[in-house]
Amino acid sequence: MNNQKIVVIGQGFSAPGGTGMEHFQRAWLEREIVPPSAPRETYDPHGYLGKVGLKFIGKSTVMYCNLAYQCLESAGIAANTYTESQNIGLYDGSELANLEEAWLFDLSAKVEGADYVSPMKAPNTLANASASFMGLKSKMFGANVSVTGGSAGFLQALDIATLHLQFGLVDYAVVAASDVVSRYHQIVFRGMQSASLLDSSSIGVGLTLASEQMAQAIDAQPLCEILALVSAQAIQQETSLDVLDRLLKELSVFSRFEDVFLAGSGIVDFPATNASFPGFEGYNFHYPESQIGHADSASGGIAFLAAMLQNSNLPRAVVAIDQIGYAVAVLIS
Amino acid sequence: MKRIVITGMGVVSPLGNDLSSFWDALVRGESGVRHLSKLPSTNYKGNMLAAEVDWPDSNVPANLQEESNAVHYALQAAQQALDHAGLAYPVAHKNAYALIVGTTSGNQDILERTLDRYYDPEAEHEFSDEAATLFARMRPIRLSALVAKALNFGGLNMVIPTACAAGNYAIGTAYSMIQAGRTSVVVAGGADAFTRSCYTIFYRLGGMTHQDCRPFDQNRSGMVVGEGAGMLVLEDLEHALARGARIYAEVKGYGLSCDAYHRVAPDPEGEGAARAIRKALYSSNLKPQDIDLISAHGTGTPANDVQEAKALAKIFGENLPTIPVSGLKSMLGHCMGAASALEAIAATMSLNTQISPPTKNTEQVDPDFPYALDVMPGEARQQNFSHVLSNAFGFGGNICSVVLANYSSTLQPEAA
Repeated sequence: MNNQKIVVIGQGFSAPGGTGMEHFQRAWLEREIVPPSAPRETYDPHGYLGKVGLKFIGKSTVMYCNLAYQCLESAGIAANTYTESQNIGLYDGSELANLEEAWLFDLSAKVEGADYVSPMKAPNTLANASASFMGLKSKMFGANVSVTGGSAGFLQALDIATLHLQFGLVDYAVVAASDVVSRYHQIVFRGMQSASLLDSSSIGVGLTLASEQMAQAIDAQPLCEILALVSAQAIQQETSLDVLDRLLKELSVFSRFEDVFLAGSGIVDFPATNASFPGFEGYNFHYPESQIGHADSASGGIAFLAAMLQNSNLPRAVVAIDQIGYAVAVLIS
Repeated sequence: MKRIVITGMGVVSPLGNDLSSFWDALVRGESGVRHLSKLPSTNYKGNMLAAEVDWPDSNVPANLQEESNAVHYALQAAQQALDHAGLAYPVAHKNAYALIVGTTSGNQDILERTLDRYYDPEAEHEFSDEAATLFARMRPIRLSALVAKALNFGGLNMVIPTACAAGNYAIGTAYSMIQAGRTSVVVAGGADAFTRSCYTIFYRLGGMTHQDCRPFDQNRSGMVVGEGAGMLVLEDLEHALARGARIYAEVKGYGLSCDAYHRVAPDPEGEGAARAIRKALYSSNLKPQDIDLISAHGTGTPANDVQEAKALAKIFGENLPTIPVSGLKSMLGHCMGAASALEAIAATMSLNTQISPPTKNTEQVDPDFPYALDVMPGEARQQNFSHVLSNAFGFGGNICSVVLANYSSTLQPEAA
């Protein structure tokens, strides 16, 4: 394990109102409001994927690839660098990216019979479809990892990517989460009894990470540094707030901070952008999803982007908590 | 660098639902492959086989009845592994113990249960609250979080859905988490329950055999879909020694790569697999000649086995015929996300007992491979094993190789 600083050098964003960081800034800083159900003609408006063969690819996969290409482009990692590279990792933190495809595949097998399902659709039913397709499309041979951490999924993928960078398993890491909400997602959210998630948008977020040395090697400008990363599961009688308290205390060992950017279905019923909670005096809480729109697995990414845009001399904490009591927290500067 | 050791193992498999049944059956060369019983075989053409877990309802905890069978399997295997390691659960104190579960299908069986119970073609868009409540249980995070909650693990937990390589991914990630000082104990492995979708995928892709699974055989005709769970306790050596734990093996390192070749087929030249093996050896600070047992992915499909044979040839060259290669899927079937975890458990047992299970059914190694493979046909092999390479390749090109070592043999050079 090396002691290299891990920095963010690229970013990507996709939402109903538009794609790219300019849109995120409009939505977050200028408070532009876009209905979560705003129609989208394509999840790859840049056309990175071309047009051939896309009918066999799931929407979440298209969005993931778009985010990954945005991340590579904004980091200045050119195609001749990433193609056939073993040193760039792809990390996907989506939770239910394959849900619609999995439902339709099984419905077809059940109702019409096994002989009538399309084998071409089979890969879309698996949760590793997005990152593995991006690897195939871009010919990236490095680590290719999918995780499913619910609302903490994006930060969980970031966790593994950071670990791989620290151990030198990869030089650059592209992290994204991209759940495209379908009516099947709505059924899941209804079953979770999460009023806020029912309002979810199909939002995707991506980041490019590198060690400071590798960032310098390609003249990439660090956007922020990852100072610490911790995670926890609620035990015994712990509530989500107890887990939040535990993680903030763990992060405070690394540095003093005041601003906390919250995300996820574990806390979605908290009221507004600048929420406050008894026992947490001294922190300034921000809840960007109340402005940007609710997302499931990408929610930690929304909070991360918002924290990066915060003008502050102090580090900021980003915390995503899933309804099940699992949380990941990151400290950035 | 910390040293990471294996101090406990737990098994739910087509060859038995505990470690000793599993291991004894493997060494005896028994098969867990039977005729398909968990799906109507009339829905599929041909002699339909499966490697199913015998799992009576009495095995299901009362409070988890409505959860995925994958949760049941993972919890049972994790509890066994903790018992085996001498670690009490539910953990009574604040802790950072972690849980990582690799899987192919996650809680897909919940989706299918929802469809089977509530789907009405006349009212496709209507789902009752009851149906929605059940459907929400298929969220993949529940596979790790519910097990972690049952064990009262307060650290990280995660599900890694990297298809058939997922068990090795979980072990590798656990290794890195302990190395990074995030925790001293991780229960890691894989779990997958039998699903209609998974079975149908391999049926439609023409990957299944209608005879038997014969890894690396010239007449191999495919794989057999299986299910199960394998969980291992990975522990910081110092933590293990401090509590007087018995150590079964050491995790030396791992390597990841992406085939980036095809959505459902491996690179026929084995380039992706060779990259992962090379990285695993590098990460383990070992040379190819240090490996004396290979636990192959060995699915028994024409495409997998030839590319794996080529990958092994690239790494081990002309020494390859001298290294025993085990193909456990000939007996276990392909237990999906649990497969490489179960194979890691078998590898750990081989390092402990100096016995490798045989490869069943294989009669004549494919002469088209670059080198003849010593697949130990028919009978278990007793030999000195010091380092095992375990390969796992997943749909979509996710690849992970792990290197395990005999704990005592790795201690000696450092002590010298």
